Amino acid sequence: MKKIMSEVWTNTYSTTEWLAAKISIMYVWLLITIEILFIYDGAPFPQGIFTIETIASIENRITNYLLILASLVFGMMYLYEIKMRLTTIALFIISVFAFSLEESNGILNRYSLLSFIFFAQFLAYQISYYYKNLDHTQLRFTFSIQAIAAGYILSGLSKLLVSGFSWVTNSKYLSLQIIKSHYYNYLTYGNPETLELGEKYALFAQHNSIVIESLLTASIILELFAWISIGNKKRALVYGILLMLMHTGIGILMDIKLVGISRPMFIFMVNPLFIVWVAALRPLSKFFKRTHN
Amino acid sequence: MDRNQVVVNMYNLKRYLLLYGITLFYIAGGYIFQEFHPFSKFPMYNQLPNWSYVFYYTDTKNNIIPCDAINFSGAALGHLFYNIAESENIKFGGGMESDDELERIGKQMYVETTKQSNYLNKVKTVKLWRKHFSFEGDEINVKDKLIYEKNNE
Repeated sequence: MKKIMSEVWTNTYSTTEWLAAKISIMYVWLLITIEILFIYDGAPFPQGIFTIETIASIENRITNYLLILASLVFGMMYLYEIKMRLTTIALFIISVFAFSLEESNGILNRYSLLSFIFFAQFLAYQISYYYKNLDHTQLRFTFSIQAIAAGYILSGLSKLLVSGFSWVTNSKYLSLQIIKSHYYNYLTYGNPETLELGEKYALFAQHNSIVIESLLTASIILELFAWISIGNKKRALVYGILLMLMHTGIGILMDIKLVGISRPMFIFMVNPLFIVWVAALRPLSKFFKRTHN
Repeated sequence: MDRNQVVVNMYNLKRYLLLYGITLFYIAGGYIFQEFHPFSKFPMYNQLPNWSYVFYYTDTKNNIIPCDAINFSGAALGHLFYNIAESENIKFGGGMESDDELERIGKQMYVETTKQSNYLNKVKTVKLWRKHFSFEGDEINVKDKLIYEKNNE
């Protein structure tokens, strides 16, 4: 445990931590992006860059297949740390194209952060290229965390500015959203158990307003104060765990995963693959090496 | 202000820009460009209104067709409804849409969902429904409404 903490609970990011974060984010990003580029052909409800006619006109099956190929090539370059300024901006452009395409088909999965962190990383490499005294090994992490924190702050501000305190005091109506989310799952797979669970949680929310109001208050505070996670690795780790607890609660109660937000946050603030590497994978590989010798 | 003070202030400005610049830029982008990917105001569940909708298809025997069978999801079908309503400038929520507006949206939803899979076109009579949840007093009220029907004979 002490050994794990000595590597995880530090003030600076190591290259192994960066590699673990890259593998994790590329796994999440590639799976989603390739699926979108395979499924969609055309933009019936133009959103984002697809409102620009030139962009909308270049979208077709061939463009999508070329972008899938480009995603794989730049994905490999990203993992192998090759030409990172070009690689990160290319991944950003492909990401914006793919996710805007999905949004232009009427599907809103909130993947904005997944795209923007590549731009944040591009800026980190670009700035440290011109200012040699700045360390890109730290900037690429801290810039990603800055982007993620901004996403949470925006979400908190949106609730506060649109609903004000009624967002907390209207907790009774959360039951309607809970039922809706579980119904979504039921209507997708036809499993009646999810429906029973949804009704159970909706009843719980309806009859335990103090508990729900406390949870809603805690979540809006966590979102609004996400800037605390910026500029300090240890703070980011603790804050990331708190945000993950919030997402787990939302996942259980409302059956919502918010992959485009929770995954980048967990990867760059907590970096679970690095922890698993230090705690289990590396000792295991050493053990096997020793037994083979 | 002497020159040293200016140098110190510039140093602090650079430091704060490196520390919070991306955050400020992304927040400002969210308010300037609104929902223009990769910018967003992340308005997920920023209101808790007294209504929620889900949408579903039924077959000739009025059995629910799981969205999985048509390469869709329940959530995606919901998003599709809101997106079409917004693009058609139709106000929605709390059951305020007229029958005519619902039929217009429903027809487009059918067209978009059949682009993902041909499954629905093989069903003799397909019906698209809206389920409307709302509180009436302390009870949750549920209303089902047929919004579009397609005969594929």
